Amino acid sequence: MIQVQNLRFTYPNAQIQAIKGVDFQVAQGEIFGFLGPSGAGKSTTQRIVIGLLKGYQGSVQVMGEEVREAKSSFYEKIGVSFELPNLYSKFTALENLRFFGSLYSGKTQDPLQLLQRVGLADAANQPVAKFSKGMKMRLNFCRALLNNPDILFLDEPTSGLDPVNGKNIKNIIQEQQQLGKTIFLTTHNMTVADELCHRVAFIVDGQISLINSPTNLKVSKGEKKVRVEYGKDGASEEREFALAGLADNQEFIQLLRSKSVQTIHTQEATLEEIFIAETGRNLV
Amino acid sequence: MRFVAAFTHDVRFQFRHRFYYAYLLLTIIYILTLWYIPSFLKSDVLILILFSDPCGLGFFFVGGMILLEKEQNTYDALFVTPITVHQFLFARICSLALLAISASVVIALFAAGNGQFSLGLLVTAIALSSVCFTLFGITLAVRVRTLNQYLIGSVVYSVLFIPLLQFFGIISHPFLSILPTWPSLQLIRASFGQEPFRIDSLLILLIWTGIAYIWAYKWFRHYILEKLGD
Ligand SMILES: Nc1ncnc2c1ncn2[C@@H]1O[C@H](COP(=O)(O)OP(=O)(O)OP(=O)(O)O)[C@@H](O)[C@H]1O
Ligand SMILES: [Mg+2]
Repeated sequence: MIQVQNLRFTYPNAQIQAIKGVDFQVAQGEIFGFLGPSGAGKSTTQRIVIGLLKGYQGSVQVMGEEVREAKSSFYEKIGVSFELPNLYSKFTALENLRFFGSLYSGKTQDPLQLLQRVGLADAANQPVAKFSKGMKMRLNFCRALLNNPDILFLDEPTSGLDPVNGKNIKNIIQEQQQLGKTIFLTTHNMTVADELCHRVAFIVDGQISLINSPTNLKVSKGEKKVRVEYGKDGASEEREFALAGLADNQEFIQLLRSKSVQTIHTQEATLEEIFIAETGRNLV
Repeated sequence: MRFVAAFTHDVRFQFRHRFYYAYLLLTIIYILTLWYIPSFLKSDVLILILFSDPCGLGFFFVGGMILLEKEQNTYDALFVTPITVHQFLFARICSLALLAISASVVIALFAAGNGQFSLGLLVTAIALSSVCFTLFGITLAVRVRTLNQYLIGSVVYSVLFIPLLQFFGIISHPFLSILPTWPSLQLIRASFGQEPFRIDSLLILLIWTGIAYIWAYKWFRHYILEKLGD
């Protein structure tokens, strides 16, 4: 669905390239995560892929079309939600969705149903100016789904949301994927990426350092250890054992028998730890 | 019918942000002014008011709209739909021209009376002036973030208003007649029979409108869609 080859981009008046030769592909039905610290070039790449920034070098094809030449019909088939709310504040949620819906020639989804799906049905007739940040983000998300797009571009879709609403949005993203939609997700949030993405790309300083599935990454980079926490009355101690051969590890068995065990955990590297190890950079 | 959707939305946006009330208030003030001033001044003041309405207000109202839209961040959402910049600009200039034309015709009817002016010519003059100065306003608004910056920037555009000095008979120069405000003034006066109608006024104003459109389109793409400002 998306093919990016040797993409380079320099902002006018900038000394260095913001994007320094990026390659990736996203297949239909895939949830692809684009992860990197602030200033890495995520938004720039997204703005190029959705056809807004035209002065790039290299090739970016979306649904077989070079986006530099994208016509207005291109936008009938994609849905985009941005990191910041972008709605008409003197209009109600419903009026906002109806207006944006009226700009598509194809069939659009029922705005009320979308609002219901993200828990905003009660606020449908309230002006957006009265919305909290989280409510605006959910409305933003609805707007991206209006035209039933084949590809969804989501920039930090769960930022500013409480856990329940965050979970709900994640469920909708997975539902969309099951309907065959392709999803391009940009985020700082490794947990979200880990839960949702089939593959992730790590981007730092305008370059992709690695593309792989979260599971592969954790299996290949994770430490295979078990940590046991034991003790009594607040005076707890912990020890680590190799996961391999654990059943025959006498020390481990002895500990289970003799001490009062509080917790046992396998030590998986989180995606965040892998990111830091791979790129030498923090994700903030 | 994306143009219709965008146009209707613009009109509603102007209502919600009380542009119509501001216009109504100004129109009432203008009418009262024209009512009470001495009659020997009346026709000149009427021409000035009718001129300032599309040219001055058009310029500032479009600035207000764009700054509000920037603040609400709505362009991001708008330009990932199939709407084009051309459709957006057409909707914007038409909605503001509608406001300017309604106000001007009401003022002319109250101040001069029905039958005292050529409605067709007045509407043409106001519509073209409004479109031209709305487009100039866009070229400034896309570059600034705050009302203050807009006001400071508008000083540069005040060059376009130098022909007003020619209107008052303070200075006179052939060059001034090719700035867009002169044909605008000339056409408004012609609609009241104060001067003959001149086709070259119409042409000059049309050419300026074309230039302003291309300029507004280019800068709108550059500063708003591609966000290549700063
Ligand atoms: N309009 C612009 N003009 C000039 N330089 C820009 C512009 N927008 C971004 N940049 C620069 O390009 C680089 C990439 O920025 P970009 O916004 O793509 O990062 P990001 O990964 O999206 O960061 P964040 O996580 O903070 O959103 C940065 O160095 C930034 O300073
Ligand atoms: Mg960004």
